[in-house]
Amino acid sequence: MFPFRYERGHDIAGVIGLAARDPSAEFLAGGTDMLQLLKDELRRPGRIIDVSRLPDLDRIEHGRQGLRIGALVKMSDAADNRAVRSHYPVIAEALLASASPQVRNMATIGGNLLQRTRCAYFRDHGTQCNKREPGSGCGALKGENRLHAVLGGSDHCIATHASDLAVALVALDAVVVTARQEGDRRIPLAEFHVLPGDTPQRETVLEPGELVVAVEVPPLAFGSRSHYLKIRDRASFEFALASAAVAADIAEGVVRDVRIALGGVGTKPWRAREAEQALVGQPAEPASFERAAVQALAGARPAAHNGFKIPLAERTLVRALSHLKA
Amino acid sequence: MAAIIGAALDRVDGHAKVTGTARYAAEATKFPNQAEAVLVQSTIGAGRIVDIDIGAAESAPGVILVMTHKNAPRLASNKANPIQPGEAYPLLQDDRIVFNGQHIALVVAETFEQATHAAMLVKARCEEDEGPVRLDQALDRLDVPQNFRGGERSPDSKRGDPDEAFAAAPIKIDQTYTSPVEHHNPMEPHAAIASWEGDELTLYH
Repeated sequence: MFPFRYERGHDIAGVIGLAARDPSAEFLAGGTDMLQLLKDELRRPGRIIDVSRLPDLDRIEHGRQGLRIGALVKMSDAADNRAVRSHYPVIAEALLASASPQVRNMATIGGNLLQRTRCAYFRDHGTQCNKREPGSGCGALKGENRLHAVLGGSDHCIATHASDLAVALVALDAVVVTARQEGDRRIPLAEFHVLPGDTPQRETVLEPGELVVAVEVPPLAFGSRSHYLKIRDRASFEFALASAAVAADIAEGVVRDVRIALGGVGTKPWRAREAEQALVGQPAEPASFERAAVQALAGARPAAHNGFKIPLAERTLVRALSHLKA
Repeated sequence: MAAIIGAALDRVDGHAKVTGTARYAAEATKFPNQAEAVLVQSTIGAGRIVDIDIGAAESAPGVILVMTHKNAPRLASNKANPIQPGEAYPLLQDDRIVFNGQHIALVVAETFEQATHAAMLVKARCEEDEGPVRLDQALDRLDVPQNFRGGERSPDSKRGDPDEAFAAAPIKIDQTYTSPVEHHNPMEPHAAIASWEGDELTLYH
C-alpha cells in the first residue's frame, strides 16, 4: 500500500478546508471500495481524510420536500428505512440487490455513488486502461468485454458503472448535495456522472476536495409503485449484467407517467428518457413495454462479447415494468 | 452407523472458519524480527525479461531484499531445457516467462505493507512471445499421456460409429455447451513462515 498520512475529520468545514490545501488528499468513508483501491494502488493519495465520523451525515429525513439521505448513511440502514421502503421501494430493492450484508453494513450512500468500475482491466496494473493510466489504451475494447457497457462507451473506455443504487436514484431525479470551499452545490444525479469520452479517468463532475454530504430525492406520488430488477451471473454478491429501475403511474390500464433507468449496460447510471416518452399514454401491457425497451437500447453499441446484453436488458426492462402492472 | 448417515455434523473447525478466527500456518506464530515477503508476478504469458528495474523497490522504506533471477541462489534442480510436462518449474533461475502470473521477483521488507508497496515498484520490461492463450489454439500441441491406464489403451477411445449413428438418428440435437472457468479459491492464504536457528530451518506451511 502506498504510504499516506491519515487524519480523522471532525466537521465538514474542517475536512473540505484540509482537502482544499492538499490536492493529493482523498476522503475515506465506509472504505469498502477505497481500501481495495488503496491496496491495489489504483489510488495513491498522500493523505487520507477519514470522514466516517462527521456528525449529522448519517440521518435519513422524509417529508413533503421528499427524501434526504445523509452521505454517511449505511446502505443497510437506508434499505431498512420505513420511508424508503414505503415511498421508494426501488431504492430499498436496489440496495438489497447490492454487494453482501457485511459490505452493506459498512458501505455508505455517498461512497456507493463514487465507487469505481469493476472492469478487470482497470483493476489490473498488468493491463492497459485509459481510466487508470490515461493514454495507455483500453484492454477491454480488444480483450474480454462480456461484462462491459453497450451504452455510453467511447473508443477509449467501455467500463460499466457498478452502482445499483445510482440506477434507482437517477430514475427518481435525485440530486447530489455537496460541500466545498467555494460553496455548496446541488447536482442532479443525471449530470453527476459523466460519459468516458476521451477522458475516462474523470467519472463525475466533483471537483478536487468536494465532499458529497447528502442525496435528495424529490417527492414522487407514484414512487411507491416502483421496482428494481437485477440480472446477474449468480444470485448474490455479484454485479449486474443488466438491471432496470422503474416507477410508473398506471391508471385504467394506461401508463400516465413512468421513470426508467438501466444498470449494468451503461458507462454511467443510464436514464432512458426516450423509453419513458415511448411509454407514456400507452396501454400498460407487454407490447408497449417491449416497444419502450427497444427504444431504451436503440443507441446500444456492442463489443465482441457483450452483444447478449442488449436483448437481456430489453427483457429485464419488460419484466420490471410487468411487475409494476400487477 | 445409521445415526450418522444424513445427520448434520458440525465441522471441528467450522465455527473458527465462519467467524474468521481460524489461524492458518502462516499466522500461527509471530517471531521476533519476522520479515515479510511479497511476490511479483509476470503480466505476460510468454516471453523473456529483457530488463528488471529494482532500484525504486530497493530504496523503498523497510526493504531488506529484492530477489530476481539475476541474484537468486541457483537451485540444484535447475535442469537444461526444455522443462518436461509435469515437472516443477524452477523459479527465478533465468529470464524466461512461461505462464502469466509467473513469479519473477520476491521483495522482503520489515512489514507486509512495505513489502507490498515495494513489490509494486519492481518494473520488468519484457519481450513478449505470441503464445496461445486459449485451449483451442493449442490443441495440436497438447501433451498426450503415454501411460493412460498403464498403457492398456489409447487415451482417445470410441465405441461403435457415432458419426453414422448420429446421421441416421430420427431426432437430432446438435449444440455446443461450454461451462465457465471455475476458479479454485482456497481459504488458507498461500503463505508460509521460515525460521532459522543457525543452520536449522523450520518451515510452517
